[in-house]
Amino acid sequence: MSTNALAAYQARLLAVLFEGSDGATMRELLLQMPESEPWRTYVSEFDPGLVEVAAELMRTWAVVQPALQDGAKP
Amino acid sequence: MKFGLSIMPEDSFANAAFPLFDLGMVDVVEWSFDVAWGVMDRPQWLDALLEDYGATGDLIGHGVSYSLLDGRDTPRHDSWLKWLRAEVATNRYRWVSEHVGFIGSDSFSFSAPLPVPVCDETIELGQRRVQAMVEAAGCPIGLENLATTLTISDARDQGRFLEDVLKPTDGFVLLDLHNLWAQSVNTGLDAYELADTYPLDRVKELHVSGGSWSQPASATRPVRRDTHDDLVPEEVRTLLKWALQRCTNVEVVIYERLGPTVADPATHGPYRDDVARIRELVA
Repeated sequence: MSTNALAAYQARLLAVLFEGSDGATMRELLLQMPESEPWRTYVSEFDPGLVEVAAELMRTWAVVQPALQDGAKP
Repeated sequence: MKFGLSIMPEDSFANAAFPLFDLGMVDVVEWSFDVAWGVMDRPQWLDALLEDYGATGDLIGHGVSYSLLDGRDTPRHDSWLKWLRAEVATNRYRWVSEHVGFIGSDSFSFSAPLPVPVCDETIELGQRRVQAMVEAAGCPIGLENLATTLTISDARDQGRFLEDVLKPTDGFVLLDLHNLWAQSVNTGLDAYELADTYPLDRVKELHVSGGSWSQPASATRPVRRDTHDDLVPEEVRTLLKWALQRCTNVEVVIYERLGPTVADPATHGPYRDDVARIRELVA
């Protein structure tokens, strides 16, 4: 594991939370992503309700950089 | 033991809180300095407070946007540290704190503070970033526990994680009791057992605040959010009494409330009464 791997996972986590869905779906999306591989056990323990609240908070406070505002996928 | 307020830059906060200052109820002020860096001019009344409280060693700095555990080293971190150097050169801070999570990455420059998995890499990353803060600030550095959890382990392991991250610099813990209670409510863990997992001898500062409830579709019960927009709940007041007994190195208790949430004059009385209730517990 490296901090680069951590950064890749964090970018995916934020993108999934920002996109939003029900908590179980967001958890499954993350589990399917290779960026989550180093933390598969951790991600598999995500509580769907807590993930939904995190997504709600994230969207409340999110400041999106120009590339994403222009419609580019994270 | 000193009691103080987290100060907000909005005039609505000044209108609500100034009578508390006039009554001599505010020993310490905490300023979340990075909310103003590069985006706003501080109002004169705020600069005057920073100068007055700094002169007596009763000014505390608090950060929200360093993103301590962002896996990438970004220009954000260098820029934040430069601003911090300028801030401590202008105002005299007793100490400075930040949150233990990350708030940005890749396409997002800011979001809510989120937890990271606990492992050797994240511990070393946290140690390195805290060391950089120590070098920039030249004063004690502490970290605040998060309210947000994605798993039960985020709550259960956070105390030990803070100890591991703070030990090399002998940093302190800012224990936010509303965050702790929110984690307890949201994970089902007992609040006092959870508190006991923290390095309580490192706690120098306590935060208290109110918050709100959210009802996610996937949750069977409401989830507690740390929104700083209401009075301090009874459960947090009880936790404060416990913490004041158990955290023997606590020096300061700070009451947090967002400025826009006291814009309505009808909120001023209940807000001031609540501050007085907390101050009474601390005195």
